[in-house]
Amino acid sequence: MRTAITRSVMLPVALLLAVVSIGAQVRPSSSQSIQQVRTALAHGDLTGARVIAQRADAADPATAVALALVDMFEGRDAEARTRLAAAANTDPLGEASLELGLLDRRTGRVDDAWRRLDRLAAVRTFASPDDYFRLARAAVGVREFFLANDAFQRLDSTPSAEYQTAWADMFLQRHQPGDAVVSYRRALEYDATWVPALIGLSRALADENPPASRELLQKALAQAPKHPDVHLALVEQQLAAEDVDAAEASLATFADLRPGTIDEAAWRTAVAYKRDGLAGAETAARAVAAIDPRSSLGYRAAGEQAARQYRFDDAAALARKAIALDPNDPLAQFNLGLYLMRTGDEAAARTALDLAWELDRSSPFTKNLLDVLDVVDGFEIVPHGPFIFKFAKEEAAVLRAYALPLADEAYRVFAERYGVRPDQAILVEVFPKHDDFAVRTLGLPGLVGALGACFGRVVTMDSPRARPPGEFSWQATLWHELAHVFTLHASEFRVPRWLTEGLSVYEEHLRNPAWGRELTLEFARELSAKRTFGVKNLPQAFKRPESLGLAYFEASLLVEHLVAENGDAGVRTLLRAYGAGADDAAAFSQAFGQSVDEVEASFQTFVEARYGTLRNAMAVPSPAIEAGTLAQLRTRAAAEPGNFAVQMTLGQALIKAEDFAGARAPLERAAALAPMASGEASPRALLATIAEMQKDVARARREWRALLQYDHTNIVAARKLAALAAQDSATDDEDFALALIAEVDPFDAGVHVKLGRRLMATRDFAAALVEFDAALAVGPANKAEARTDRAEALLALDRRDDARREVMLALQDAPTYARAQDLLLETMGR
Amino acid sequence: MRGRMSGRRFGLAWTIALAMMAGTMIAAPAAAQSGGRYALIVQGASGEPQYATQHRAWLDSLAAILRDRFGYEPSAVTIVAEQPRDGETRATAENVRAAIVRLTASLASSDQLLIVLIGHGTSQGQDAKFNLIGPDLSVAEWKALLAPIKATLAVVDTTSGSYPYLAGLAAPGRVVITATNSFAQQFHTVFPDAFVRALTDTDADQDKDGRISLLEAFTHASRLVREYYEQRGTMATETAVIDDTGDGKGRLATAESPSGSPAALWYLDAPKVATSSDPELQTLLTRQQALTNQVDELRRRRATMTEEAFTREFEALLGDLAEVSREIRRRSGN
Repeated sequence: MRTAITRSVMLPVALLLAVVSIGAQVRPSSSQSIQQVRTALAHGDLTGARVIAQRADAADPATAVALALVDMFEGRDAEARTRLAAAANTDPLGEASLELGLLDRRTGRVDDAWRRLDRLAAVRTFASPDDYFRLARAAVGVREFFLANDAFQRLDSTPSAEYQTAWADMFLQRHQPGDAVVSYRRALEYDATWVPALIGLSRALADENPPASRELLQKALAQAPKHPDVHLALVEQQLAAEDVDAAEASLATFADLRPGTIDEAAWRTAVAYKRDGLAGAETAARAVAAIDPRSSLGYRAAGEQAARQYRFDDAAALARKAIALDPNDPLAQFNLGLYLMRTGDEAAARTALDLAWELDRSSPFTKNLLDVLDVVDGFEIVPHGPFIFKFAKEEAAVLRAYALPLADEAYRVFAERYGVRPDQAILVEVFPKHDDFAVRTLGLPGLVGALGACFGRVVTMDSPRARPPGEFSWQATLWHELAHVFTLHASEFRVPRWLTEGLSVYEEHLRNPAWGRELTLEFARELSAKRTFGVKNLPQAFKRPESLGLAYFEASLLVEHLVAENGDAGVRTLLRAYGAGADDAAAFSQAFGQSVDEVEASFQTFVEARYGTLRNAMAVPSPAIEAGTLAQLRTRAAAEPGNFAVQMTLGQALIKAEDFAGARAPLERAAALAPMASGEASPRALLATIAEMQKDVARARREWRALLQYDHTNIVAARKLAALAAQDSATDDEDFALALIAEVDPFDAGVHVKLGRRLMATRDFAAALVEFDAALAVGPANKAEARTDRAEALLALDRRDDARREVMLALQDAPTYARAQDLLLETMGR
Repeated sequence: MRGRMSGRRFGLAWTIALAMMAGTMIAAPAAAQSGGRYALIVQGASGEPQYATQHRAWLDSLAAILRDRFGYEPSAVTIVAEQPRDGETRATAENVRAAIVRLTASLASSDQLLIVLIGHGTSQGQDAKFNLIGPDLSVAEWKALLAPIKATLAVVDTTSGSYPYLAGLAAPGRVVITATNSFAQQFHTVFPDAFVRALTDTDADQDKDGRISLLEAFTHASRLVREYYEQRGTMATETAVIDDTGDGKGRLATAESPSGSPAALWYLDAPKVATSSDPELQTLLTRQQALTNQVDELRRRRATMTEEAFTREFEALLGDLAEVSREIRRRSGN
């Protein structure tokens, strides 16, 4: 990039000089015929472009360019090269030379292309916008992006869809989709039917706004049904949507319209991988090599498909092949790094990413991944059986105390249920900063809704400190992601998303009845509004961000139903069927002996039986509840005792009127209708608050505990219950609340101390020791006391020497501490 | 006092432990701290009813703790409040001045005076003001008012924008605690609540000597403030800081305290010495004191010893000390 900066700096000076030199060295602007052909092609009007090119003056060198543009549009690159070469020899700084350079670059004649384009990028005489445009395109061709950007900026005031589209294309290549979107939109303001801008904008929005991306491409297709680039973009979109048949059809259309291109060969390699795995890709890649033996495109495209299927070992192997062909392909190097991170080989990933960074320093993805590798390098590595955990150093002591036993349990449960054991270590990385988790997972910060991710044998997740206490259960997240490890392995990584997510949420619920059922009320409301998905629409629901949460929930219900009907064995068969490449119909048939329709029908029956009553309770009141007098609300509540919203409205109105005793009845009814209602505005929380106000501690405890049976991350309620229980010496409630607090917020040292002491009282010394260890790791309020607690647990476990060492540490802080002194004597046998 | 921990704290610890024992022992004020203990609590202008209630509750709790737990004479606790009750004065600059002038005149160098400011503070750079009814008092004015006081002085400014008071009021032998540690921290603080709780929380007693020093109260209060924000998942808008070296730079609760930290010796309760009319018990008490002194001495020499040698000697001494202490407790029925 150093060269680019130098040239970039020089450009403004050159622009000044150009004013003087124009008279001496005026370059002719692109001929009208070239411009007209480009415009016609950009609208998909091949016939028109052909007519314009053929009518032009054969003696004019621009005519050769116009004809070549038509040739290239139709895939006749050889003919185009012949036409362009003659014209380029006559004028090596002209339009023909530029098009020839770009053609050579595209078709593997990299050295020739570089020489030609580099010379064009050195031109500093400008008579018209076309000269800047030529410079910009040449500079992009030789990767001098700063220079190109300077030139594009000179064109910014020219209202040209073509200029803006080319500029946007460069932004997209430089990983700046936001800037690209701005330029594409400006291009479309100048010409709403400029097909390359429609295609480009569709690509730029593919991740951020898939529906808009699809719509744009359909618009391009309607505008130019025979534009090959539209069909190529469709291939990309359809493969991203896992629709291989449609992608193949689009590829065939593309090949008809523009035969024999390297793009076609590359995408056929990707499709071949989808169809036949590595062997298929290997065979298809030969067609790429026949066009350009140094092209990485085929293997790269196939690798991306492998990664999309979570087959990261395959993806890495394909990326390595791509790099072997073109070591200077920054995307291939980046892909290799990314895939290796997802296989857990972080050392090799770093090497690849370093190379990618050397080749292209514009990629925020590359930089972010390298940065997060630096973060992970500072983590504490905890090998544990089949797992390798990586925790932030300051969190390791606490998290390992909880995460390791939970992971052991998960491995045991899932290995048995799914009949599979991963053949390599499972890497679990836990990030105290959410953005580090997001970058480790997707290469960019954000990913706000995600708590964890699984790549097969790599799990990444937020630590409890990554979010405010009470926002999520990190243990449920770990359990969920570890379930993915097994369902992915059991299906050879071919399990559809609805099933693997459904299984993971279902597993959460099996582990803890409160886990995985957080959206029960929302589901009942959707059920009431007839907006649930059903078996057939679940896969689509997983593709829409707005429906993702409920899709997880409904998928877990479907899994619950499938297990109830067919047992774990049925699910195992289903996973194996998907692993063998079956589609839904075949997989359902093999696993359950039923068609998708039959499963759909039985699932609807299951949902009706399970949630019919709740659905009715959660129905939106009709007519809507309007503000009225208490008497009116009472009348309404009496008339509709089974409606949750009606009862809650009355309860809240009575609270507002400070009729706390009166509020109880409707709140009780609401709680009975929807016991899983959670949060501070839930009936149970309101009832508990009323009880506290009325100093009815026993009742308040009952209400808080009832709430926490469902609202399992409500740390505020748990702390209240713990305090009330301690006040009442209600040990059962206190134990429950403390355990929940420790689960949700393991960095609360005081809770570990209390929990440890409770466990000591019940003579569960080993568990108590875990809690005291955690307390000391977090930093207890009183270290001498905590060390003495730990020493007591050690002594109870007959670890006398350890106990003595620990109590000595307590006495170093507090030599006159009587409890520690007595314990010391006990450890000494005195 | 040398070394990380205070020798005097160790020396005092056992006497306090014994002070609670029944039977043959009696607890008497220690000669070393025979001066009186006084407090001035100023509750400034609250601005809003919710703060008025909250600030008054903190004031009442603090006053009750000083009187009931730490044994301050009721007359030794001067209260200047926004809405004064019997025996209190209104929180104006004039009344604050009058209260300090009165205390200055009546207190001797052997006395100790605790000043606690509750309410709102504002600051613009170094110019900080504790909000009173009517005109406020600036840092410079507070400094001038406090300068003539002979008693050992501790000032705890629990308010927002209190940071400039740290440097402004710092002086050799004086303890100054502010709820905030930067000019930017201007939000209402939870430190006063934490500080009041720290005075009664047994967890605050880090060395388990039965007493809570100002340093321990500050450390524990800082922890409670940190937990307050952590448990809510919000960014902390206050970090308390203490100065007891007189340089006005201050240090956080997580920093190691310097040797001989005056805040570590600044106790709110009166020191007591246990003696016994039982000669055998008195012998044990004397032996316990000697062993405690040896422990202190050993700790001071730690840096010059191998870890193994220190551990061996420390364990032997602690074993003896523990035995003697156990015997004292047994004989005294505790």
